[in-house]
Amino acid sequence: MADVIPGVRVVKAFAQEHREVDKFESRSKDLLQGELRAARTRSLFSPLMSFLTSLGTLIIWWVGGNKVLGQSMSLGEFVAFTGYMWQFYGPVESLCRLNHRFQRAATSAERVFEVLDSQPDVDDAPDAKQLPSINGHVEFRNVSFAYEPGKPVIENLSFTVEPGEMIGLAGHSGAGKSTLINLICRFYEIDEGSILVDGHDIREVQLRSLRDQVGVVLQEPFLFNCSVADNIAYGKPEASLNEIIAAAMAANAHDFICGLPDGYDSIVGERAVRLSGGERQRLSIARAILRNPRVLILDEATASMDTETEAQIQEALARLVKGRTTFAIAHRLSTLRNADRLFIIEKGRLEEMGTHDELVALDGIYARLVHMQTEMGRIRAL
Amino acid sequence: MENPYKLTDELNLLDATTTRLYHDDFDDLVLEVAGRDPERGILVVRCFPISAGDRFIALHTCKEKELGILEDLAALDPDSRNALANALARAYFRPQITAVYAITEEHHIPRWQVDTDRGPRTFEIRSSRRDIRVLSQGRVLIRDADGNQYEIPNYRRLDVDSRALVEDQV
Repeated sequence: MADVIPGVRVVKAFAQEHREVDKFESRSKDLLQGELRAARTRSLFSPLMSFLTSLGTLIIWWVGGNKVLGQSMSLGEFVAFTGYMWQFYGPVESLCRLNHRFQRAATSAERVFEVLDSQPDVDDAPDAKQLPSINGHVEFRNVSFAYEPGKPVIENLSFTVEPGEMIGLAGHSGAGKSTLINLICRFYEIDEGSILVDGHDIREVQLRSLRDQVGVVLQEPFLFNCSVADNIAYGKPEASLNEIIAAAMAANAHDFICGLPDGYDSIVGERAVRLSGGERQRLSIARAILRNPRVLILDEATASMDTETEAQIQEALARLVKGRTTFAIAHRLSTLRNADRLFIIEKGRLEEMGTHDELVALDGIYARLVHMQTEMGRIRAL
Repeated sequence: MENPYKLTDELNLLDATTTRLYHDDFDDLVLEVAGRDPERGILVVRCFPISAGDRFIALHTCKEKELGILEDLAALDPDSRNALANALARAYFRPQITAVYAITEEHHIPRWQVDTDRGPRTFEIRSSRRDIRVLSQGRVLIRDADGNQYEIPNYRRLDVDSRALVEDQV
């Protein structure tokens, strides 16, 4: 259900409604069978308990009655005893009914605690220091990393990026570009080498102080189901209204926000369904601008946008990257034309590095990629 | 390293002390800013219509080009403030609901029968979840299927029957 309902368009487009309904019915029948089995057991348990309590009562009346007749117990004592006994039976029966609920709660609790008890893969070192305010100098020293042992994604990577420099990351899909930027944010721990930000090894600083100074704009920005203003101020909740509007203006988002029924107070909806892809992206840029990060990561920020929206976003990004160390990934190489240097990553290695002109003159991987994209553009134009 | 970018430079704030607003003979709102030609037919847009209605008011030309933002209505001179307040009241017409008589549902579309400070009204909303916003201190904003807004300043102060009906929805 969790997959099918959000993907209902795909289901309809491929005319798979009957198959999905059948799958749902099959699972529902399994659930029904399970519930029926549980109900059957419960239905046996309850009469059994009633039988036992009734039998107990019968025995007490038999034994107690004989004692009263034999004058070894007074009638008053016997009546008091049976009264107390019924008071005792009520809670016992309730406890028996509780068992069923308890079993269910225990199963759910087990799953919840599995999540709560899970340890983060990357955590602060015990002696981690606060990363001071940085300029944006980033250095990779012989960095190697693998998601699975024996299958390196990044191999012996070394480079230095100066503060304020814009680096374009290009290469084939799966070359390791996104992994590289994930390592800068320290979403994963590297296997070998070191990553230095302003000379500080990122493993030796507090994660929060590092990520506070790194801004990320992703291809699919995530917005929360709250107001536009709250989404922009997500990374800086103390931001003033002035700052929120200014960030939206810088991100070319102010005009469309003012056109929303409740302006900056408009609720964006679950997964921001009430906004277009370009609008969502501009809000995520505004969010990044407001945080004023020294290191900025743009991961395919303008992919799958129409030309006009891309132009607006590029304009906003041009403001955003000014003076910040920026790593930008793009498959459409024309979007990296403003980069100071291009890093061409291939199978986790830095194969080429230089400006657009230098790399074209080198006639290597980058030149081939540019040629292919130019040819594709020509074919599309025909 | 010097901060590369001063964010607040992006703001196009109008200086309230040199800004004048008034209605001309055709009842169009006119903006006069020192050193600029007067602009007629000004449209007013609240940036934060719910959380800060009297702050950050964007002034647009009739072609929807933004001329600037007034940070605070109270900072204007009294005449300009009245002119802007009137323009805002027109642009953001929002009757206040004083009683709710019935909320019925047909084909999953809720229909409200209410009394407002502008007279009785019946309207339909597309979705209770989406079009009803409950704010702090019992304030409720309702947007009907045509985009008209209604406000209940504090639903807890409505009569018992109205309150029960609203509580069922919020």
